[in-house]
Amino acid sequence: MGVPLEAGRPVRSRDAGAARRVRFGGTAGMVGAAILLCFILIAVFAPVLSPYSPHASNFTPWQPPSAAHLLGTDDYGQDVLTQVLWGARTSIVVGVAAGLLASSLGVLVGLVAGYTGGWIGEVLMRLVDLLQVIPTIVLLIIIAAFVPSLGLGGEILIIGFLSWVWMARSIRSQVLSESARGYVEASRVIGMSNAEIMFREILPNLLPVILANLVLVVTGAILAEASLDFLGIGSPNVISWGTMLSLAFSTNAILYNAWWWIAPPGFCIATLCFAFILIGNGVLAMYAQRRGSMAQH
Amino acid sequence: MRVSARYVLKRVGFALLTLWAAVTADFFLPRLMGGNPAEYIASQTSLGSPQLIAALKAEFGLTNPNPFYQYWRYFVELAHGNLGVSYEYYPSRVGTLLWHALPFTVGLLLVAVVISFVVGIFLGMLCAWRPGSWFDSIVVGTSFYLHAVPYFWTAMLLLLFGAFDLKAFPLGHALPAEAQNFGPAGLVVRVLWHGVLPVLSLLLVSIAGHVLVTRNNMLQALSEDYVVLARAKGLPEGQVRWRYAARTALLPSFTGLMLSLGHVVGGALLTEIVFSYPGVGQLIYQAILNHDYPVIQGAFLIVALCVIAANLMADLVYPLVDPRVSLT
Amino acid sequence: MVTAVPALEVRNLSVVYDGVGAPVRAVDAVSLALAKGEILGLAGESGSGKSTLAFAVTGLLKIPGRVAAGQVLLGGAPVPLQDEAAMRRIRWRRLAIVLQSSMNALNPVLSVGQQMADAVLAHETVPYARALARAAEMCDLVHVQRRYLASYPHELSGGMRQRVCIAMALLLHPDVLIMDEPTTALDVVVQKRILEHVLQLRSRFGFSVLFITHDLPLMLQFCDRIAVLYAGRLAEAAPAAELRDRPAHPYTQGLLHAFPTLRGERRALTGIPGRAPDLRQPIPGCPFAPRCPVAVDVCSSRRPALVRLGGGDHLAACLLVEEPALGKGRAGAPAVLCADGAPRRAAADRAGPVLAAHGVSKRFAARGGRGTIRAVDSVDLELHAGEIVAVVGESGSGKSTLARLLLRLMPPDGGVVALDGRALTGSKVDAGFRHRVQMVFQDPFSAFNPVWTVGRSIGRAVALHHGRWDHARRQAFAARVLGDVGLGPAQEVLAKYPREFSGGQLQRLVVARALAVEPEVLVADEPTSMLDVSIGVEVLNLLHDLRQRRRIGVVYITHNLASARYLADRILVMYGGQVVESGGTEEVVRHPRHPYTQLLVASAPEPGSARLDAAAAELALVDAGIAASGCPFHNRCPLAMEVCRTEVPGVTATPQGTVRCHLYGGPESVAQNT
Repeated sequence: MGVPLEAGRPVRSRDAGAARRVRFGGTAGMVGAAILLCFILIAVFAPVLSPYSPHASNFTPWQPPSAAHLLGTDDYGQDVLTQVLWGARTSIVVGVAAGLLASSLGVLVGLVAGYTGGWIGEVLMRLVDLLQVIPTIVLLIIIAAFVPSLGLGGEILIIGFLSWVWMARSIRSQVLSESARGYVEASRVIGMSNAEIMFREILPNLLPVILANLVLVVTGAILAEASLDFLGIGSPNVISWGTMLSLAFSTNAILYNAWWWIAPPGFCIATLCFAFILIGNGVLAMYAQRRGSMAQH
Repeated sequence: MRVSARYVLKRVGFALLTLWAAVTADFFLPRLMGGNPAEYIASQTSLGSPQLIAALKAEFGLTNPNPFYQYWRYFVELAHGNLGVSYEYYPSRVGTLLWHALPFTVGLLLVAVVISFVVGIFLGMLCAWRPGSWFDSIVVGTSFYLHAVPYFWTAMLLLLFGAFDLKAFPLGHALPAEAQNFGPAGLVVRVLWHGVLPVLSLLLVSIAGHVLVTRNNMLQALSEDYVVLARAKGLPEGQVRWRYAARTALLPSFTGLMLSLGHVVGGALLTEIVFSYPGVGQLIYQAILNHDYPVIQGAFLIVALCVIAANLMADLVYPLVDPRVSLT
Repeated sequence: MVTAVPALEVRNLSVVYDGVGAPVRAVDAVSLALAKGEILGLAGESGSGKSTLAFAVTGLLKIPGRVAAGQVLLGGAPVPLQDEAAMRRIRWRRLAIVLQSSMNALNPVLSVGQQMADAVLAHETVPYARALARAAEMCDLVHVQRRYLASYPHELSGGMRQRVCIAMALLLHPDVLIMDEPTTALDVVVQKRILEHVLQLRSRFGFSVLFITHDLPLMLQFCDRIAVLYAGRLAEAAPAAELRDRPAHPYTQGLLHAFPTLRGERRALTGIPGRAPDLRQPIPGCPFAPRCPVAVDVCSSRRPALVRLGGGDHLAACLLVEEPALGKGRAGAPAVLCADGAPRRAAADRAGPVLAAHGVSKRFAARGGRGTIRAVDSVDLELHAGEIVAVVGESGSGKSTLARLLLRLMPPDGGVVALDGRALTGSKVDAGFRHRVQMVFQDPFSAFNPVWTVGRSIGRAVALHHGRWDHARRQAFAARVLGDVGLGPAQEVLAKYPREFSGGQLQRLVVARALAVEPEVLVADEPTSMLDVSIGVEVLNLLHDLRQRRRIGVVYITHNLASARYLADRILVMYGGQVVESGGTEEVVRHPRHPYTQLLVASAPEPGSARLDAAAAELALVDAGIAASGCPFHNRCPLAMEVCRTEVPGVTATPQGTVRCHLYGGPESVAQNT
């Protein structure tokens, strides 16, 4: 969370240390991809990796880490490590699904608003401005509070439908600058249809920007999902990192000094999001480099 | 005069439009649960007297099945400041509850936003002046990580270590339990003392965005021709950086600050819950736990109103900082 | 010969850019001297290292660039390039600079006065008010009204901003003024006045000027002496007249023959085929050898030394100059690169026009939402088969909008575009129109989609217009089109991505894509303005060639009257959205009738014409924008009458063409005005 990073505008890299930054971005991107891969493997192989069943709650509660329970147990007598491993599934599924939904919407709105312009574009952009001012995170919480039994699907839907705004903005400004490039006019002059120009000519040029923004949208979705679960209004019956923190908070884990229960889920959320941010940054750095080297020729 | 009446009207008009959208969303919220909100309220009779329910239903036009009429009554009641009655804290009015909670949230936010903005842009500029240095790498790397941390988790960790383990700070709330025992000065000190950890938890996360955005913009500005020319003029390096580069580089940060406000507000609500800080967030959390829907509805409206007002103020101030935006 | 201590001297200077791959040698052992009060021109194409040299002299190279060897001397004393604090004291007081883009050179959020005063305050301890007063005095000298000191840069016109930059540069009376393409972004009329003004100020203050531009004709008029750079090396240096009349280096000869002229006989221009060498590779011999028409084998292995010609200060670095014996046995060794005769004018076509515009108009909302701008105001244009019509105008004249109206990329607000005499109405553009009218773009670097191969882009054009053809036939056709623009082998070219081509090659590919639909009309919007002149001429020759062989009609849009004369049969001169004058090319160029055309002809830089005159003409007339009422030119017109201020002039047809001016006819009728 915090200031939404702007992923649409690769910095013109003719300044000091540009090359170094590109290399740094590339390496960091690889690190991010490696971390993400780890989490995906954990999510897929959670049943194999977990030492216990995710529903086993017959251990002594409030145990600090030990050989039997590497991350201790919670107040219900469940193994924290098992919960953490299984929780990866929820975060990744909700994050990626909501991110893809929001990105598709954002790309569509941005493309149409940027390319066609006119009153449709104007209306769409006013809508985007409007949604940007309304605190969507708060709206998300409020809606989740009102809708009974949201469930994973519901979470994906409302997060997806409330997080496309940044993508749309970024894509629109990118489409505007692409449209000013000669090849778009050239496509019109040789008689291509608007749909072909938008989806076959402009869209492939947007891929790096889409990818960089997608990564931020996914990050936002993971954090939003965790927030909803923390408030107990997401999907309380599904094992997730947010739910773990929610239970830890409501059962006063702090007063039990149960750091082993509080630290791991948050660490996982942050590290997973960090991996996505690194990937996005790497993509943008490579993109800037490619654009830069093209300008030199 | 740089700000034209036309510009002001446009911005105010847009703020009103946004407010209308927020109110409309708020109106439809209870209807999301399916069924008739009147029936829903009626089912809560255990919380209040049947007479009150009837009076409320009449106030909000729920006795009339026409949704447009209900919509209209909703606006009329809002215009009179009537946000309904809390189920949980019956017979408290929602407006009163929010009125008591709002100063805490606003105070928390104001302090956190100002500090994080100032420190964030300062760090961002330091990074941009030495791109690729170890300082830059560490700050940027840390910022990327902090940017990914959930607010409420930082809050829980701070509470765990700062208040429970070290006992350096109170475990929660905004005021000590025996508040009446302190004089005004002592009270102020203790209020500030209670605010340190909540502010810190907001700060740690929201600072990262400012660092990254400022660094990017500053790097961009430093490569502009007018900065090169400022150097060519033989200006001292400090003047080149602050007067020529920073002024333009900070303009987008200023806009970014406003756009990030909605996110920080969301974070503040969660932080308050962790610290049992008696602000709007805590109110919302209690309301969620107790299914106190009028409070949730009212809280959203108040938060939206504050954010919209802050954005409007920023829009009106912006032309004074950037001469290029004057008449549009 | 100048024996006194030069104001600025560069000795054996090399500048290297350290990049991801091998370092780029942008400036390679260049030595130059700038005498006191002299104007030295630094000529060369993009990538020749001329701007890098200027920044190296001021110690302001962007970080990956560094001075690898050599020395810079100011008034005989070495410049401490490594010592920032010492450089800061030298900058602006002794060495000031004017950059190309005045919009970017001025900080958008500081007022003009603040930025000027800052320069004074950085070097002298005077009160702010005194510094501002100095700025005001200097503004008087460059004819910028004092009230603009309180303005922000975006509130000034381009010409005014550049004059502010010059005033700012002269505030501390520097010894040397470096001007890096100072007028490239400006229109010729403004350019001429500003340079005349610099000459005036030089005679007053006595500073020296290092003048950097790619525009050789301009340089010949403005500079005392000219140094030509190629691939970071000094190719030739000589007094301006000497260089013009007796160029020694084949590259200089090529450059001189790449600029079309307005006066004298029209002659064929050849340009210089090929592209500049990759500066990351070591170049053992002469860097120009691969493009040089007179090169011998040894040129690519032996580095030519700079030799003095005729004992004067004419220097050239060419082996054939060094040892003329090397060139023996080759026909016409270092001689003029010109071959066949000038482009021929087309014979008048008896048939009706292919493409025509009748009274087309287009308005745009003015910035800030107040009122409208008449971008194109009832323009008539007729283009016959095999004819080239040039539309000449400065930026904001509406010429590009007219191009888009002709291409039906936007609908006109009034008037019609007609194909074969049939008016085209409605916003729907059928394939038939696209089949017959095609476009050549200003920026070849962005005219192809970077994610697709050139083959796919051209293939789509073929497929859209010859949908029934099978794959083999489309391929064969694409190959033929490439042959038409002089590119091959087709398989290889079509499989490449746009970034693998040079600008000149890309512009040929743009033409090839247009030809892929077998059009009858090409609308070319400034097709050479993004290319180096030596490459641009080849594109013009290609257009001419297509007209000759295929009878394709061309609408050639340009800001350069001389290139219009080179290529076109007829010229339309636009100003403020109106065609102010039209007629046969020679008629318009030799006997301009509209005051604007006259100004344009007088302002165009000409290699053969007289030096610029320090006695500058009225400056006040130059900066005014397009007038909102009456004749759009009345506020800049030296001959303006009362009626010009209020009434839009009508079009007066004469045997020589049309002219739209109150000097020649009455006001526009009301019916036409709507």
